[in-house]
Amino acid sequence: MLYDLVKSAHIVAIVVWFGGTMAAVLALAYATPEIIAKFARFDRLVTTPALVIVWVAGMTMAIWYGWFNSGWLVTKLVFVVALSALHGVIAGRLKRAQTGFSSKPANTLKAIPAMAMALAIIVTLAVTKLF
Amino acid sequence: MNRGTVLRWLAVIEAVTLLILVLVAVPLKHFAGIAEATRIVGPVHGLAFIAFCWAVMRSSSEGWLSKRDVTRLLIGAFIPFGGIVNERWLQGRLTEAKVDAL
Repeated sequence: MLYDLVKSAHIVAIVVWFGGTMAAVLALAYATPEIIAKFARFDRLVTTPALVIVWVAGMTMAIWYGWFNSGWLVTKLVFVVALSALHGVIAGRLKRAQTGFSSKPANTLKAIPAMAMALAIIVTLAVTKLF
Repeated sequence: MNRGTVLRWLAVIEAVTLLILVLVAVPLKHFAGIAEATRIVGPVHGLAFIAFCWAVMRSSSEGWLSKRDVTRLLIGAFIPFGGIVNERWLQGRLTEAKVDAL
């Protein structure tokens, strides 16, 4: 039961975090600095805490079941770390865009297919636990 | 919050958990046979390391850390006491930046 609860928290937090990050990417590409400031606030108050919950819940389950030695988790971790780092980049850009530096880096939208692909790999590995 | 405060805090936490892991937990595991020590401290340090990397990426894309600074901070995170040295260095840099801004 406790495992199911932690797993649910993990999944809910992923949905919130992923949605928040994607919205932020779109905002960086299309929104005005005033709107970006609101997204930056949302990122600070909701998206970033969700990322913390994702990590804590995920690590808790991995420790309980000794998954750190299994291939699927280690492979998944590579993509999870990359996505987390990408969120760090987005969070920094949000902050930068509202303080008036160059606000629209051209390549922000490229994050979307990369994020979707990473998510697909991560979910497939976690669900199938193939190897 | 001042610029760099989160990054500096996370640098310290990362450094301290690494020291606890290397100087306390690993010896406890190998010399006292207490494997729980690394099983607990390992993931805690892992979380601290991830959070620190996240903060480095954020600061870098905020535009006040160069690629060289990022490399320095990330390499320092792997070396015991490296994080503490880097935190001091960061504080110095941030004070300099404030002086420049005046």
